[in-house]
Amino acid sequence: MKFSQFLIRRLLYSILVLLGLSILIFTIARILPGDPARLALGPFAPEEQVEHLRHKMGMDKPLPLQYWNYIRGLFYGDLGLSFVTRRNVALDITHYLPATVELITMAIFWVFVIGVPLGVLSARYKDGWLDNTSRVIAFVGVSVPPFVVGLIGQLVFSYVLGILPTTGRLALLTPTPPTITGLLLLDSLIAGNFGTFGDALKHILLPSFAVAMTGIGQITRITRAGMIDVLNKDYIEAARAFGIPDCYVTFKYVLKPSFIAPMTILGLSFASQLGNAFLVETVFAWPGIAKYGIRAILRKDFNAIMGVVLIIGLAFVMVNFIVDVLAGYIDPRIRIQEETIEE
Amino acid sequence: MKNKQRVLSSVNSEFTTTQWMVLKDKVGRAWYRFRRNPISITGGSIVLLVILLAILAPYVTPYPQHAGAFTDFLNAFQAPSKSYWFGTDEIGRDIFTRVIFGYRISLMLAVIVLGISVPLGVILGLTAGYFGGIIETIIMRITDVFLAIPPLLMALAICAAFTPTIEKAMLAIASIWWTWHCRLVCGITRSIKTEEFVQASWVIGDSHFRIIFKDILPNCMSAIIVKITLDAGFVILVGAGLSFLGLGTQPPKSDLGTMISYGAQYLPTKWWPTVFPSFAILFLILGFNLLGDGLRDMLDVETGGI
Amino acid sequence: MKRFSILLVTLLVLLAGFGCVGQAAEQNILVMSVNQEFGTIDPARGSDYTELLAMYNIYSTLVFPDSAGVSQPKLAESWTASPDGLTYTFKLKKGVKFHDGSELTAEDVKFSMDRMLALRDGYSWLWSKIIKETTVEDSYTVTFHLSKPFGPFVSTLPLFSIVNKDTILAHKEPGEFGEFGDYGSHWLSVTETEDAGSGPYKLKAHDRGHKIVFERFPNYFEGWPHGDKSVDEVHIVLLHENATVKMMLRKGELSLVDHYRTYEDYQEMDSYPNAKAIAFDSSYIVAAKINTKIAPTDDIHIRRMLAWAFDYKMVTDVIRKGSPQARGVIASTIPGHNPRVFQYHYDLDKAREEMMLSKYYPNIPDVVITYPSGTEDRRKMALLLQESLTKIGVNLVIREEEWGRITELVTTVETTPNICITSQTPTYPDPDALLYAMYHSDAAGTWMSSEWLQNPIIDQLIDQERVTVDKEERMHIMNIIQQIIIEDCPDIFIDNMVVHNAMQNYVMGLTWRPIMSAWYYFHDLWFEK
Repeated sequence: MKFSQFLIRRLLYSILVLLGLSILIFTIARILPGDPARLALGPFAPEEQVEHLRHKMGMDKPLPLQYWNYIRGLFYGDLGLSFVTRRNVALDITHYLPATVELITMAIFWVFVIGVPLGVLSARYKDGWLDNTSRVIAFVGVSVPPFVVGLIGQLVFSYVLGILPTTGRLALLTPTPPTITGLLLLDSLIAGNFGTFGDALKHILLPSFAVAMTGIGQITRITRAGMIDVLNKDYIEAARAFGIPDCYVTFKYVLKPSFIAPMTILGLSFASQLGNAFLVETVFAWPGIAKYGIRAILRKDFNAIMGVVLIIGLAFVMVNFIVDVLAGYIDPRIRIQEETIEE
Repeated sequence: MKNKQRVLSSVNSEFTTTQWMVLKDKVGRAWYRFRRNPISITGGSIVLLVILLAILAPYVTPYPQHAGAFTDFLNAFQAPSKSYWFGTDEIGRDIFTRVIFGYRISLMLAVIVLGISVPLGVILGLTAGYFGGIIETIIMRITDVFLAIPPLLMALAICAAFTPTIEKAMLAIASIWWTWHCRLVCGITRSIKTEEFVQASWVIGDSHFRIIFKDILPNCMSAIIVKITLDAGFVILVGAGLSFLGLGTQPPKSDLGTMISYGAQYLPTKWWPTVFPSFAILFLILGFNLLGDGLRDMLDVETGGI
Repeated sequence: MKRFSILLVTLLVLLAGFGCVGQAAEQNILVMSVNQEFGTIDPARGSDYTELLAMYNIYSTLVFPDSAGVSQPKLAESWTASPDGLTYTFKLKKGVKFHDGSELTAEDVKFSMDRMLALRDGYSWLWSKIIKETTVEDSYTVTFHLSKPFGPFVSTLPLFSIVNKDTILAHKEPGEFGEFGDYGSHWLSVTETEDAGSGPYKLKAHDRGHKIVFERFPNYFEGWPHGDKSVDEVHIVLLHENATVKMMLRKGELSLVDHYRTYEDYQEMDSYPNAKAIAFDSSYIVAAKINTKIAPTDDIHIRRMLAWAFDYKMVTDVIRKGSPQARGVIASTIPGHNPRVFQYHYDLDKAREEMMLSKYYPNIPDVVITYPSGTEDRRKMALLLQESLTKIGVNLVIREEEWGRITELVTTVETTPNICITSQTPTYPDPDALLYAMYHSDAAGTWMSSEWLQNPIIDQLIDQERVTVDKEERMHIMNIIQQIIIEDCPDIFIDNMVVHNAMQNYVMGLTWRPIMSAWYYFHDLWFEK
């Protein structure tokens, strides 16, 4: 089918998923037992005060109406008020999201910078010591819980060796650079503040690595498998037979097709990074969306829960959309057999 | 899909002697390949060891009563020693014993979650792939929605709504897990649907039910088995994550995730309540992953994933 | 590979170079840890310990308790109460400045109370049914007109902060309060650098979920007796992980540690050469609150059995060494404590005797115990009780629950667990704060009243003490109430949790005040370097 048709289909499908997601989470959040108004006001607030808050939050209207109001509000950027902070959830999210974005971006960076070369070299020197070592690393990577990586890393590098900080994004007394993107690494560079940049980098090293561990393991193995596959293809043998130098063969003919494999699981990898972020943010007191989300769930902050899940769902759907489109663009076969369930 | 095994369904649905011999031969060869692969041997041994330890827990642990209602505050935080191999925790209980009992809970988690989600996912996947059309679209879209949420978040939300017990955690994970098997089986079904032997059964007049269970399902089995093994590891990992966040077992029981979470407060001076359960859980998950990988090589299957 | 390793080395070198970010500290900066976020810093809305902490430092109140819990003049120079207890007149100090330089007058006091009652948030419930009207007599005199006498009235005033009327109105936005708009609610909820207070510190920065910064207000009306040694800036940082807190204290990055860490942590921090841990006899009471209305704890013999089966000494000598065992519900640090109230001790034989007198004997149903997750010491107590009860054949089922879930479970009798271990401290320094909140039928349905006592005699006595204005008489009634309570045994009164704080050796002056967060009054502190 034409590419534009493919694009539109994918877009519609993404919107459908988001809608379904919003209904699902809305229903769950609303039927969760618990009275967040009471929770927010404390035990002594008289019933009428609680009622007043409930009314203000619109919790006394029928469910479908609440949902409709909520969806309508979304288009105005109004995600409702958080019970805990009494502010617009959208504000809260813009405050906490950059930290998690930075964490996951850094993690994905590690995944590709470490995982792909490792996988390539593994395939290149198949069954050698490098291959075996990297396979062990990959196995451990997918087997170890990310909070364990975080805790052990903290133990070794922060407490015992003392070379890395334990928690947070910056040392306590380091001034935060003026907020432009919310990503400390970028903001400090833009402000020309190299000291802060270095400090932020030191702080993000361990957490992002903990998040990336699973991804590194996955990508290494997928890249390796993909490359081995390609290396066995006839046209590679032909190229070699023609006397084309090995380096050239590797980079021009092998690498590009090998990238398809890791890319297809990028969407999956992103999901697992996000999941890992929840655990790692807890260990490192990273003020991100995951911590905010957990707190919202525990305090039954409905609007905050909705906001967080929607944002995560949105991000997820967007990433999948981009990956699918890219894959469809690069590999026409995928466009043709539209619904390959090769996830 | 490479090297599918063709299991023909006979009209009387009985295994003839030839079929028995073929099966035995296949199993024998598979076992040979399994034995020669260091990955599968290591994985299999680990899993077997842990399962044995877990089953025999009251007999192989030095202080089985420490896994129950027991306090000994005067012996709290003993470093690892001859009497307490992994040291004691903040209540004075032997950590080695509790780790072994913790394995019980991890394994039970895997059994229950997979026991629920696999049959559910397989049946839905077979249905979707076989009947195609609108049924498939609906089922696939539902799975998409569930897959759009990181499993941990979904499990958290469900868990936090009710009393945080390990059972709720299992249910929460199971409620998402079926989607993976569903997609897997759906994909396999779709490709097998067009094969000759399935067409043959149609022509003969076998009912849909028979075709699905006699022709299609057996061809999915290898992929499902491999996925279950790999899933076991992943389910235990997610379960540990949930209990680390505080949604696990109730005292005095402790699963490994909860033990790590409680122990983390006492780092770095009292490292043993955290470090030993951490390595214990890594050990088990690694075992399942190695085993799954080995099985996959052995059965020569693509599960279309990790 | 080579290129990769070169890149790696360069990165490491950069890290080492840029990692050292120091800060020239000519100012006295206090860095404090807390384990809970600041939800709101609007004094009419706050009720959590962190919110109160901010309130006491940024805003001022009419009175403020001293170490014994007695209300001392703060913004108020003096006050009088009418004999019928319906009118309280306060004379304000002159020349008190808000942070913006304007003077604090009776107008601001009236405005603040009207605002508090109108917003119906935070602690407004303390006064919503009691204060009829607030009137301004002259610039420095304000009168509260009550609809009925309320004995503890003055004790509750530390929770009432005075806001700057002009500043609030200058930032008002459209709202439901007529000419007052939204009473400045939105502005106060989003501002990160401004406040409407007159307290010793101004809000300098608020990085939500991470830290909040206060800076000294030089023109604070109480002056700065410690001069240069006073604390110039306070950074309060959210840190959940005890291990991090300890390490930062050791490295000198933290100056003051909050009181929510584990007992072992404070021992360890005390051993650091640069730090010390101090302990306060607090007004906290840690009690296992027993639901008196569901089986089997509706039977007084079962309740007494529980009280005899608890190993108090293990708590006071090992788990939380130094904390005195509780004697009745009111701690000895609060005026009004009755020292002659009966005290249980660990005696399994007596426990067994009580058990055999119970109507449920010999098949005692399971007893369910709950406590908030994240509280180490209470988990230990639950396990302790479970072990003891196993010895006499009773099964205790432990359910650790999220705090949010607990507050929800206790709203009805049937869902409230048999036992709930919580710690509470009086909201205002008067026994009424605990007695009313825990035992009066009107206060039913909250985590503080999970006993569901519903005893008409107690109700009557509490009502009486609330409307009694004469101090002696009130204390007498409250003594009687404490006696009756202990006989009915609706709680296992465990200990008066000693409050620990850890800090650098040079931090001096932390002064105990027996209400929530009031001892974190940074104006008291100075650095001895």
